[in-house]
Amino acid sequence: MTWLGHEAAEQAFLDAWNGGRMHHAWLLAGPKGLGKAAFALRAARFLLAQGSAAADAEDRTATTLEGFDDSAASHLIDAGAHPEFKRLERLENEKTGSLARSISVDQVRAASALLTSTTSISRYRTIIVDSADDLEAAGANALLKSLEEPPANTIFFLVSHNSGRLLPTIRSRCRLLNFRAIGDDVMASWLRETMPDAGADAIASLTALAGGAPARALRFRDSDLASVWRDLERLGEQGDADLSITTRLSQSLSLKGANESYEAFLELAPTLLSRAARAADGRGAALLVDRWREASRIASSAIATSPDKALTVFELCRLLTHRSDMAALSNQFAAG
Amino acid sequence: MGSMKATIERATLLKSLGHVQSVVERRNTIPILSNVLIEAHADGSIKLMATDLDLQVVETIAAQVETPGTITVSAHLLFEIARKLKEGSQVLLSAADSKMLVQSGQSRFNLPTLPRDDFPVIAEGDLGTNFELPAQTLVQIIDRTKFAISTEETRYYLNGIFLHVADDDSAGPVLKAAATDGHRLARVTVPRPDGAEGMPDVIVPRKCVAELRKLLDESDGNVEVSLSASKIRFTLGHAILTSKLIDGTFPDYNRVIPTGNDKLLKIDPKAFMEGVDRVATIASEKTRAVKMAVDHGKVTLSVTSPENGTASEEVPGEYTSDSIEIGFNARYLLDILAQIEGDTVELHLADAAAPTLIREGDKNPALYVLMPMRV
Repeated sequence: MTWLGHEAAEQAFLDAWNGGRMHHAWLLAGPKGLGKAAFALRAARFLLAQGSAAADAEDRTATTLEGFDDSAASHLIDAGAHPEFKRLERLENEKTGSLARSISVDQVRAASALLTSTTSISRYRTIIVDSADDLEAAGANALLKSLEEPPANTIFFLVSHNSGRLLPTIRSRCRLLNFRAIGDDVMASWLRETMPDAGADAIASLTALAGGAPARALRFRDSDLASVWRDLERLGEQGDADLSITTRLSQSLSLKGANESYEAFLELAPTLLSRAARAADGRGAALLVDRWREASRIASSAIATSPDKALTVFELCRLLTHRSDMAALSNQFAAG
Repeated sequence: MGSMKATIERATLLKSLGHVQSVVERRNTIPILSNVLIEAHADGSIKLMATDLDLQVVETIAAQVETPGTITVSAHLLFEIARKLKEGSQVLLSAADSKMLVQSGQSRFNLPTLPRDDFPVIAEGDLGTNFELPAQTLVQIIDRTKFAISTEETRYYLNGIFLHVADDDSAGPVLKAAATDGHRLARVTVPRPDGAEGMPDVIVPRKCVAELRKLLDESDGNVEVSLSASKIRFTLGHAILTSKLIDGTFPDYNRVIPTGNDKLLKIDPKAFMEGVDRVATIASEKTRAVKMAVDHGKVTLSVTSPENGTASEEVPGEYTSDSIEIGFNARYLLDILAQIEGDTVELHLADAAAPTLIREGDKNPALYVLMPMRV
């Protein structure tokens, strides 16, 4: 598997490692779906395989992070049983299967216990926070404490989809690795490479859906979003006078089994509006930007506070209606 | 997936599983950490191993090994099964196709397994420092210090027993074990065993201390201690306990051990302890404060509680200095007095605000320091 768009980050990380100037905290910043968490995991696999008891030497002439998926350390990481590895993420509720709203301070404290004991298998302690945006306030402060006084041989990876909102004190402790959205051309050719059997239409729609994020394309690859996608296209172009499309979507997406499609929809709605806004200018663009802002707000609060799903879908559909008309309209205004 | 086949005596299996499974956390969200690793060797031995990521216990037992191999199964299940099997029976363990068959007499169990590669094993590599200590000495070191170990997580560097070597002016080279929570300190000093010279200072975590103490109950003779700056290993006969250490700096505790306390009280520890315990009955839960008025030939213990009234008791003791009043946390004082085995305990006092030194005598390896309370 190739890691689209990781090249610069990988090189920066390896330069630091090879030069013996390993920073203790790395902020992996950029939009969702670019593989920041995957990069953190690759880097962790690399680090934990270095200087382990089995292979005592550290490779300071490394040219890639690849090749450690099958190491002894990686087996333990995947089993959740590496004594020097912790991953902080929103926990899944055992009964409902849904994710917690945030990464709790207790989780951060439990992970910090790793820092107060010596290492036993690997030389490096590695903690991945996926994502730092999900930390509750007290959790962020607890993490900050560890970032300020990290014990030797401890490396943090903080994934952030919205790094501007992190505590400045956390940001300033970290070395920044920027992950940028992939251009549509590069994305399309990568998709053709990854999915040789896919038709041109499929590639085009996936490229649109991805919005620069490979993971999003991969995620939509298997989920049955085709009908949702068609509905949204119609919503945008023809409107929905009798609310039949809107009703259909709110019903189908709020079903219990449709959780994945629902979450995809929450990401898709603001993306489509921002695309429409970019295609427009003048007054139409301003209106679309307002709608995009509103849609982003609804979508992100839908994740944080889990209100009624049908209602959320309904609200977002209203915002998506007639977006292409507005774009066209604005062009007329501009022409007139 | 590994295959393995071996037959073990039920009693041997049960006893060893009892040892290793005690490190397995009861509520475990990581499946592999609930498991025991079973490693059957061609030389007729089986290793059982369990871990909680901070420490690991390995027990080696004799078995008839038909097919050498390694597998992991639920420690708790296997222990419960072994416990319920018939006394004196033989147990066949046979692993194949990601299942392990446990067979004994007419009973058959088929247990799910997890691959050995998922099981974290602390390598039994070379640890720089190696020495032996009599099991009894280790028992003494632990029992006399562990009550003073801090449980405060923010002061993690106090959450264990500090082991270090030193050259004492009077006693020559020694090994010292110390624990403190900031209110009291306990220290045991023993002659430095051969091989301990130059060892790094280490802080042995509380959980390791507790597991070691359990294993020591069943062992006599010598315990082999191996350590580096990051790991410690105790070998007790068939059992090997390996643990991470606390990654921190233990404070320079010598500063708090008073050397100039010139007021000496000698007292019967049993009578003293009983007296403290009695008057402390009415002490408030929060402070547990008990006052000692020390005068020629006696100590007057008293407690005054706004809710519960007052209590006092006189205990005879040997004392010739100027009279002094000092307060202590009854719980802490009782903890220390419980360690005294002889007929006399010495309290070296200075004033109501200064740390007090408590010991059986200067020949005794154990020494305690207790901070006073305002009463």
